[in-house]
This record gives sequence, C-alpha cells and structure tokens, in this order.
Amino acid sequence: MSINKNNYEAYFLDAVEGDLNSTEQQELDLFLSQNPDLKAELEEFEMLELNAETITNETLKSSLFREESTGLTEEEYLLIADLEGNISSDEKHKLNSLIAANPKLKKEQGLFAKTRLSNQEKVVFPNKSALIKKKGKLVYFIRYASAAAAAILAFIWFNTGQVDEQYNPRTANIETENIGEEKLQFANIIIEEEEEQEPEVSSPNVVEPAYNYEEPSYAEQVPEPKKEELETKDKPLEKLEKKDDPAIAIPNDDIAEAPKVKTPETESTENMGEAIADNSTLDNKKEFVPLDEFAKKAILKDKSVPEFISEEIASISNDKINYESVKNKQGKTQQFALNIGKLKISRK
Amino acid sequence: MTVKEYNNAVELYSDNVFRFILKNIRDEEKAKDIVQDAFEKMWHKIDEIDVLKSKSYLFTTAYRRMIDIIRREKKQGNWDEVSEQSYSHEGNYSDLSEILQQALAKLSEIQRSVIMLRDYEGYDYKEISDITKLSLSQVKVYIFRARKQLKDYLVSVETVV
Repeated sequence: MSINKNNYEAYFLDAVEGDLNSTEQQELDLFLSQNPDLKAELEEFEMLELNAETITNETLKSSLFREESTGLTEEEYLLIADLEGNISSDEKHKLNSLIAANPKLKKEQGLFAKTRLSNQEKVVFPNKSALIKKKGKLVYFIRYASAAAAAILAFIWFNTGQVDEQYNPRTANIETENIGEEKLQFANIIIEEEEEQEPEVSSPNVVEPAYNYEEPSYAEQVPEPKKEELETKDKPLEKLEKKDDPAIAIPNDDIAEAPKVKTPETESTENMGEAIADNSTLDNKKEFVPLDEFAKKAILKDKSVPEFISEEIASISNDKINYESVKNKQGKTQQFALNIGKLKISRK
Repeated sequence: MTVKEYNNAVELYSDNVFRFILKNIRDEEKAKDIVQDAFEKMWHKIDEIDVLKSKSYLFTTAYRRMIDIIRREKKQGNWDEVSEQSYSHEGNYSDLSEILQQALAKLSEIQRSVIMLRDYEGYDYKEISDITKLSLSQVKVYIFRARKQLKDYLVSVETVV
C-alpha cells in the first residue's frame, strides 16, 4: 500500500509514534515533498505527544504517610498529639510547618478540638442515699446478724412454752433377742409411760437414755464384773438423779440390780456421757426411751436448751452471750434476760 | 479509709462512675447495679483502700464489672439489640454535644471507655492504663483512633446538615 491523500493521516500517526519502517518513512518523505501543504498537519500531530515531567508535591506526600503505632496520617497524628498535649517540640515544629503550607489543616485542628467531651455534663446517680453508711460497719452486722437471729428465735421458741405444750416426744426401741413374754412386759411399761407424760420430781419415770446400741456378740466372753465395778457404774446415775430438772432424773433402783457387762463401747464413749455408757448395763432388756430425754443428756450435757445454744453461738461469733432465767414451780420460765454483745433482751 | 471518707467518696464519685458506666452500656438499671456493686466492694475493703486511691478503685472495679457484663451479654447475643433499640438518635442533630454523644455511642467499648476516662475524669494515660489493664501504648492508640473517628463523624454530620 502506498501513501496517498486518502490514507496519509494513518502514516502521520505512525510517524509520530515512531512505528514507520525505513521504506514507509521514505514514502512519507516523498509524499510530503509532493504535497508541501500537508507538512503543517504533520506538525500538529507531533504536538499531541506528551513529554514526561517530574512533579514533586511534598504536602501531598506528607499526607499519605502513616504513623506506625496508630495507623493515622502524619497530619492527623500530629494534630491529635497536639490536642492531647502529647507532642514533642520537633513534632510541634513540623505541625506548624504543615499548617503553614496547608491552611486547610487549621480547620482540621478546630474539628479535632471539638472531639473533647465536656465534663460539665452532669449525670446524677439516683441511688446515692442507699450507698451512704450511717454508722458502724455493715460487714460486722452481717457477720453477727445470723448468730443473733438464731439466738433470738431459739430464745423465743423455748420461752413461750411451746416446747412443753406442743412437743410430743417419741420413743426409741432397742430390739433384743428375747421376745414373747418380755415383750408383753415392756408393752406395759410403754402404757405406763404414756400415762405419765408430765414427770414429777417425787415420782420420776423409769427412763433410760437411748442410743444406737448393738448387742455385742462377745459380751459373754467378758468376765463377770466385780462388785466394786458395779458400784462405780452406779455413781453417774446417782449424780444425774440429783439434778433439779425432773425430766432428766433417772432412778437407778432397777438398773443397779441388772447384771453389768463391760464392753468396748462403755470405755470409748466419753463424749456421750457416762449415762449413755451405762446403757450397756441394760443387756437383754427392751427399753423405750423418749428422744428428748436422750437429747438432753447426750447433746445438751444436762444444760438447758437456751444455755446450750448461747454457748454454741458464743463459740462461733466470739460475742459474749449471757442467758439468765427464773422458772416457776411448774418449770416454766417466768423471767429471762438474754445479752448478745451489746444487744440485750429481757422479759419479766 | 474511714466511714466518713467512704461517704465522702459516695458524694464525690458516684455520679461520675454512674455517668461513665451509663454512657458505655446505655442501660440505666445495669449501670445502677454496677455502681452499687463497686461501692459495695469498696465498703468491704474499706480498711485496705487508701482514700487517695478510692476514685481509681471505683472506676477500676466498675469498668471490669461492666466489661464482664458486656462480654457475657454479647455471648448471649442480645447486646447489639439493646444498644440499637435504646439509643438510636438518627436525624436529631441539635447541638455539638448531642452529636458528640452520638459519635461516642458509635465507638467500640474500649475506645469509648478510654476517651471518657480521659475527657470526663481527666485521667492521664498511665491512670487509664491502670484502670483498663491496657498497656500505655494501647491506651494511646485507642485514644488517637477514637479522636479520629469522632472527628470523622463530626465532618460527616456537617456534610449531612
């Protein structure tokens, strides 16, 4: 294809781009010599070529850098550091230079200043009065409250006569190998006891403390105790009998005559009291014992219930607890006074 | 710390602790519970706490309790619902303070906490670090990024208005 008036523009573009080979370039030169009016048009094509130039914009570059720790731009970092009062003198100098070079940063500085929250905003806590402590320490109150409450409840319970009126003692039954005729005899005893629900000092019940006593299988291997031992065994019963409280008075008339068997239990049950230990003397006998009687001897250790509770609470709370009462002839409490630390309760 | 000093702390700091927690979790009842819990703990340790550190103790205790609650509720999946329902003020731009509060609500819990400790209570980075158990550099980063977000929000609101 040779150059002509219909396709010369394509040759001109290729010439500007430098895409013509030597033959095509010679054809173009010949064409231009034959058509000098088109030389100006070729020069216009040559003007369209852009020359590469280096543009340096330090402000733009600075805005693109990111501060390492926060990931913010350098401008943002410096503006915030200035607001926070956490800016070095070099950083402050740089910030001033940036603001001078780019006045828009002044507005940014103003916007950052607006991000400060005003501490003048008041929010009132509605339950403030509930937090005020008037006197003393709540912690101490809590520590002793439960002990005091327990003492008061127990005290009221045992001094309103409810125990005597409502408490229906149960009986414990110790089974033995011998049944039949003896069983009938014990049944009679039960009836007698039920008829005498309110024991009197002058005619005490035949009541023995009961506990989970199992007939020792080796009882017969133990030699018959001597008379001195029998006398020694009777002493605790005599001691108990002297107590004023009729409910815990235990006669030893029948028991003293019963054969005594020395068992390991009688030697090891120190905490159960001697009265319980002596229960081992009741071999082959079937006894019905009210649980309250057993509890008073085995657990209360012959103390009144309020006295026992007071001592237990005192041992827990370390508060000094005193209890005093005056009973009438029927054994009912008429007057009492209970002191738990500084707390004092009394009834006359 | 005496009982009188404790009561003084109630007068001085209960509102501030309440504001700090309320702005964070945006639930008044929970905020009350957290504040009461913080003061109750301080009361139980009244003999151990130096009166000069009582404010810091209260904010620390309340902040940690709040974070526990936030984490627990997020785990249960109802935190975002509560936040959206109770505190959506889209379109109500009355003044800068309100706009800022809205911007504050859009921050993460940690960013919001550090910014409030910084601006409301005037704590320095070290004190904020002690309260939040973040490192000093973390505190700085959270504060800087929070400022940036708050500023961007102000700009966006200006554009909308």
